[in-house]
Formats: sequence, structure tokens, C-alpha cells
Amino acid sequence: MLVLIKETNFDFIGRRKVGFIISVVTLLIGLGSLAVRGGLRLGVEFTGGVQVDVQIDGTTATDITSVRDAVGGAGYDNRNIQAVRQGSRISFLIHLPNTEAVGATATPSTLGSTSSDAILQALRARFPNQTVTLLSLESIGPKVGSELRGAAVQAMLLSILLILLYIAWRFEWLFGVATVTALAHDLLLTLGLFSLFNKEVTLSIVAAFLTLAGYSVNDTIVIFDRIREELRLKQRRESVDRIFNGAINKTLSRTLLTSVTTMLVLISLLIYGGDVIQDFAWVLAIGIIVGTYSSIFVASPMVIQWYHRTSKADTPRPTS
Amino acid sequence: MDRNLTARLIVILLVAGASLFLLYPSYRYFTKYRNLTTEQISALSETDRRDMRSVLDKSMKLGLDLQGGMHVVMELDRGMVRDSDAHDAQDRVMEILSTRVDQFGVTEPTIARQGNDRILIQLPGVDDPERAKGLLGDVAQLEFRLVREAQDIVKAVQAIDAVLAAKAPTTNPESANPPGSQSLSVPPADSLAAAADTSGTAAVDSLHLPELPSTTPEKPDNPFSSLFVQLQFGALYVPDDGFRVQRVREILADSEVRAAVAAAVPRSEFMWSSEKGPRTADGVSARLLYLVNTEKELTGESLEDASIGPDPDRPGSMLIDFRLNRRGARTFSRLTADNVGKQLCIILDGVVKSAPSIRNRIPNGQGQISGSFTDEEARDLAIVLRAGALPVSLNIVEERTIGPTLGSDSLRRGLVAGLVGLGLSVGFLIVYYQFSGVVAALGLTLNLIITLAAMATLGAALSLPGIAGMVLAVAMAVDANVLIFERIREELRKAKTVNAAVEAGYKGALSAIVDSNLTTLFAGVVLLYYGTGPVKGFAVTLCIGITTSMFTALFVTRFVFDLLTRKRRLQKLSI
Repeated sequence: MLVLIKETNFDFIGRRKVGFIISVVTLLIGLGSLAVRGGLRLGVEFTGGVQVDVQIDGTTATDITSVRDAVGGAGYDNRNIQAVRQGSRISFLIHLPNTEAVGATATPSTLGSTSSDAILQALRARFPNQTVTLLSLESIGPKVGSELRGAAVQAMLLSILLILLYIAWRFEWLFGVATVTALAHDLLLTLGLFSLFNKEVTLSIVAAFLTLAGYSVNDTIVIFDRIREELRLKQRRESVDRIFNGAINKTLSRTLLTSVTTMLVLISLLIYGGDVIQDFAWVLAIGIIVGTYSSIFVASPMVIQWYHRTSKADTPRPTS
Repeated sequence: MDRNLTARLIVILLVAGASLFLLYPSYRYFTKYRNLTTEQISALSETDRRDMRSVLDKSMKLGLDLQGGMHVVMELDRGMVRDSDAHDAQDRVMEILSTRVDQFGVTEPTIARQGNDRILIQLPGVDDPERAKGLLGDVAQLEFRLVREAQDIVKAVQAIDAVLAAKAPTTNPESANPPGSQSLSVPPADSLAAAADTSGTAAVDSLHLPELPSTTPEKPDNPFSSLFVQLQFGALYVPDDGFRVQRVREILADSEVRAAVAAAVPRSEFMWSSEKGPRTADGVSARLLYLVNTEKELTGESLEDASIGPDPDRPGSMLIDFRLNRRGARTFSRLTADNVGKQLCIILDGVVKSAPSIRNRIPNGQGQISGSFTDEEARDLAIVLRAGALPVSLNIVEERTIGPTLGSDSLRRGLVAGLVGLGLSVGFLIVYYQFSGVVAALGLTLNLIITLAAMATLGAALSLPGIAGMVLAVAMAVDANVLIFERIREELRKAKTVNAAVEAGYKGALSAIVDSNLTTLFAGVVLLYYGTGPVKGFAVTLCIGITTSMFTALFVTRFVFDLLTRKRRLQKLSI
């Protein structure tokens, strides 16, 4: 039998203050970065505007200056252009803010393709001997952008509420609150780090955060489930701290194994996934570490703290 | 094996068998037809084309991000519409847009209502966004034109045959494809009558004219006429078999052909209809092609209103009442008086929507169109008539175009990344849990098969966020297995027997698995209802994946262990 870790007996609960400090510091760094940068860098889906992704055969990242010239020459904002690597291929991501893209002559009904056509023409003139391919074009009106933003936030809040209710029903109110707190902790922390690395929030990043939320809740529930079970089997005079520690230790090998297998999937996504998927995998990789950590150091200590405060620590009722 | 186990085995085999059966069309489509070019498709035999259509129908769909294409959201300019009319306006716009999208020849377009003032259009495979948008953004054109008599159609067809026969060696590569003999029956033609006229005059107004050579293979001397099966009620019937309609379109677009038609039958042009002929035994229906006057008798501006009501002559079927304005009524009165017995086409954006025959003069601008219309057909036609004077303008508020290169690249990367990731974690499970890991791997594979089959059956498109949803579902399925196996190990350490440990392991892990999966499922369902586009794609695969993973982790793997432990007391379990 292959065993990753033997039976353990760490005092997680006793060290909850250390966890608390780590959480607060990391959260502050992330939120500080958010504040300094004035919020997240939102993708074109959420801000509105036009994003053109163009591939030019035989170019390298250094050709970005020529691309800038061509775009600027066509009369468009050329400040926000990136060279993006997709495997062996380089493409150029050109962002145009909303006002710029619609322009004075174009009506709203010809939103994106007018600008993209002009840009493609300019690039073809600039690189006459290379094939210029339009990889993708996204063009979002300002109203839709803010609606998409609203819908994403609404969906997130509603699902958090449902999670809270379900766990409150299956466990106890406090467990629900703790799960949701840990979830919020994970989302905020990852979001902060995301901002620190100045990555752009696109719709697929939203999907990544949703996946993270699922993982975080799953992890917390597994530990809570064990705590619930151990509380039911509790011997007289056994302290709650011990029970919590026992439950966390008993699920520790499972926690590690699941993290490892999920990480294996993520590593594969990071290696083979290409640009879009790589950012997705990045969020999840951070999320798994944070999610695992928060189940042990955020969710469980919250419940313990409450037991202490209501002096249930010595005589807890077995929960349903 | 006792009865309980047998029953469970049957359930598992049924689910697995059904899933494989449902996935078979996708397998066939993706391995055989997906990468064919238009030319290769037209070179397929009749049987192959029929096969391709049927597997495409049941095959797994790909999202726009994986196959390339265009996604447009249009918003009705509500400035001019009262709230109560918004729904109606949306209906009319959708009718107009679907007519236009049909012209694109896109394989599987989506046109859907979004909220009460938006319309979502997805055109897979379209890589010319400019042309597509020009077509979607135009003002609707509704017009009435007279259909040419059958003699004229025969003349035009013969002229085209002559042109093509002359060009035969270079432009006729399909001669190796004889169309099979087909038989189609035709429904009674629709008819047009004054509103007051409810007399039961014969509605069927078929034109019994010499049929064109129909069942002969495409021969050098009649390459065009061999493409359709018959001429009836003023229309040519072209079987929509994925090839002939396309070929006829190509021929009609040819400049020499157009010149020949103009010479043979002046002031006329061919026009497709959105009406479909009846299906033949092999499931192919025919598209109708009319020869109509180039000049229009009346435009949509003359129409005031159109509504539907039951047809007194034909119980169960509906008719459409329409009202013209005064100028329109005068023109219409003259037109109908002069052309009794002829067919009048109702054309929206260059597509014939209906071609009723004129039964009698319509003097007062109040007419009726009757035929064997179902409720829905009648309503659609009324919408077409009212679409003439569209009261709203449309704005594009969202547009995404994914080039075919990026689409296929993402598909390849997504698949490779997903499969390698799955392989790695399954490999890890097998190394770590040995025999039990193999059982888990079986469960995971089955899980994936059921998920894909469910998606193909529900018509849910696979997109990149969808793959992400699947990754989460698989991760949770792995977690379920890990929970169970760790619990069994724990019980084994307490020196329990294998049978007892398995029993206790599943029992102990059950509540954690159910609770965590259900919570995630709830979140998934919320996203399903709230989310649009990518978020929805994520939620669909997540919900399906979670449901199947509970089935495979709790039911399927349990069955294998029970099968092992039921008969004899195992001394050791490889876990």
C-alpha cells in the first residue's frame, strides 16, 4: 500500500492565530494592489469596446512596433497592443476603447467590424508579403458590458446565498456562515493576487473563479462533514479543539491527494492549454492552494471561535 | 451473483450502452465528415450525404469559440415602440432575421430571444463578419410579385440546360452523381381570396403541365433540370439533400446563366422559397424555387395589418386576414382582377414566403390567404406580412467573431490539455490505489462518456468554459473516489475485515460526497439560469458532470467492490 502521509496529529486549531495573520496580510496586499491600481483590469467583455486578435505570418514579438505604427496610421488608438504567444505562434491583441472604436463616422450598428476591417487593411498594407489572419474580434457596446458585469456578480451572490442556506440546513447556521466566509476569503485573496500580477479579467476568468468557488466549498464541506461526524461520536469530556483537530488530521491525506490530482490536471492545462486556458489554470492553481488552506485555517477556526465564545467548548451538542 | 447485484449490473450496462449509442453519431461525424470541404461534400454519394445529415443532427455541437463563427446580439431601438408592442416587434424582427440568416446557408444558425428587446444570432463557421452584418442590419423588404407561368419556367430551365451543356467539360464535375429517383407528393396550393368570399371553391389549383425530366441522371444535355424532381404549382422542387440546393444556387449565380434566363424569359428571376416540400421516405424534403417577375406589384408599405383566424372551409386549419391601405387596395383590386388564377408571391428580403393563387378579385383591400395552414404556419405568415413596415431599427450591441484558425486551435488544445490532465490524475489514482485505482479509473471513464452523451442528446454545445466545467466535475469525481478509498483504508487500519471496511468506507464518505456535490450542483443551477454565453456553457457541463459523477462514484464503483466481496470473504484488498 502506497501511503503519502502517515496518520498525523498536527495542532491546526492551536495555530489558528498564525493562519489569521497570514490571511490578513495576503488579503491586505491583494486589496492594496486593487486600490492602487484602481480596481481590476477588466476585459473588453466588461468594459465595452473592441478587441481584435490578429496573426501575421512570420512575425515575432518585436514586430509589435510596426503593428503599432500601422494601427496608429489608420487613425486608431495604438496604446493598448500586446503580443501574445500561443504555442509557437505569435498574435497581436489590439484593444480599442469604446469611444474610439465607434468613432465619429460609424453608427452603432456597425460597431466592431468597421474598425477591425480598417485595421486589417492597414496591417495588410504594412506586411504586404505575409498572410494577415483575423483570429478573433470582440466588440461589446458599453451597455452590454456593464450588464454582463452585473449578471456575473448577481449570479455569484445568488449561488453563495444558496450554498449558505443549504449548509445551514444540513449542518448548522454557523457552518454555513463559516463556509461562505472561507469562500469569500478565497475569492478575494485570489482576486487580489490576480490584480497584483495585473492580469485581465475576461469571461473565461469568471469561469475560473466559479470553478474555484466550487472547489473551495467542496473542500470545506468535506472537513465539516468529518467534524459533524466526530462531534456525534464525541466522548464525554473530550474538548472541541481536539475533535476539530482530529477531523482535520483524519481528512488530511484526502485533502492532499485531491489537491495533487487536481494540480496534475491544472499542470496539463498550463502546459498545453494556450493563452486563454493558461490564465484559467493560473487562477485555479492559486485557488486550490488557498481553498485548501482556508478550509483548515479559516472555516474551522471560525466555528471553534464561536464554540468558545458561547462556552460550548466543553459541552457541545452533537449536531444533526 | 444475487438478484440485487444482477439488477445493478443491468442498470450500469443499460446506462453505458445507451451513452455509447447516443455518442456513436458524434464519433461518426467527427471522424468521417467534419473535416470535409464543400467540394468533398458535393462529391459524396447520395447515401453518404444522407448519412452525414443524420449523424450531424445527433452529433455533439461545438461552441463558437471552438469551431469559429460569429455571435451577434442586436437590440431593438425601443424609442418608437410601446412596451406592450415590444414582444410583437421582437417576433417580427426574429422572422426577418431568420429569413436573412437562411440565405447564408449556415449549417446550424441560432436565433434566440434575449430579454424582451434583444435578439441573439449565432452563425457557426461564418468568417466574413462584414458581409454578415450588412445582411443583418438592413431594413426589411416586403413585396408582392406575380409568379411566372409554367411555360416560362420550362423555357428558362431549358435555356440554363443549354448554357451548362455548352460549358459541360469544365463546369460539370458532378455528373458522376446521378440523383436517385424520388417521388414527392404536393399539398394543395394556398389560395388568395377576397375577405367576403367564403364560398367553397376548389382550393387546389394545380398546374398540370408537362413534367420536366426528373428521374434521369445529370446528363450533359440536361445538367440543370436533372437537379430537381418536379414542377408543380409554379415551383420547382429541389431536394434539400445537402448538395443539390447548393448546386442550383451556384448555377443561378453564374453570370452566363443569368444572361440566358434574361434572354429566354425577359423580366423574370428565380427566387427561393422558405416553404419546404413534403418529406420523402428517406427524410429529404424539397426546397421550392419560383420564377417570378422582376417588377413588384406592391410593397410592405401598403399593408396595414394581418391577423389569423380559423378557416371555415377547412376545420382545424387557419387562414390569414390582411388589410391594405387605400392606395394599396386600389392597386390590389386591379392586380387581382387581371390575374385571377395566377399565383402571387409574398416575398420578404428576397425569399418567397408564400405563393397563393388568386381566386378572385379583391376589391376593398381586405383579403384572405387560405391553405392548409397550421396554427404556427399561419402565425408566421401573418408576422411576415406585418414585418413589411418594421417599426423599429436595430442596433448591434455585442459582436464576437472567432476565426476558424483560432477555433480549431482552441479545440485541439482544449482536448489535449483535458485528456493529458485526465490521464495524469487517473494514472496517479492507479499508482496510489492499485486495483482500486483501476476501478476508480473505470468509473471516471464512464462518467466522461455519460457526460458527453448527455450533452450530445441535450444539444448543449461544447465550449472552452464547458471544458472547464467538465474539469471541475472530474476533479470532484476523483475527490469522491479519494474520500471513499481513504475511508476504507482507515477502516482497514482498525483491523476490520475487507467486507466491513468497504461497507463502512462507502457509508462514511457518503454524506461528504452528497453534500459537496449537491452544493456545487445548486451553484451550477443558479448559473444556468442567470448566466449568459460562457457562464452558461460552464454551468451546463458542470451540472451534467456532477450528476453523473455521483452515479459513477457511489453506484458503479460500489458495484464492483460488492461483486468482489459478496461471494467470499476477501483477506486483502488492493487499495
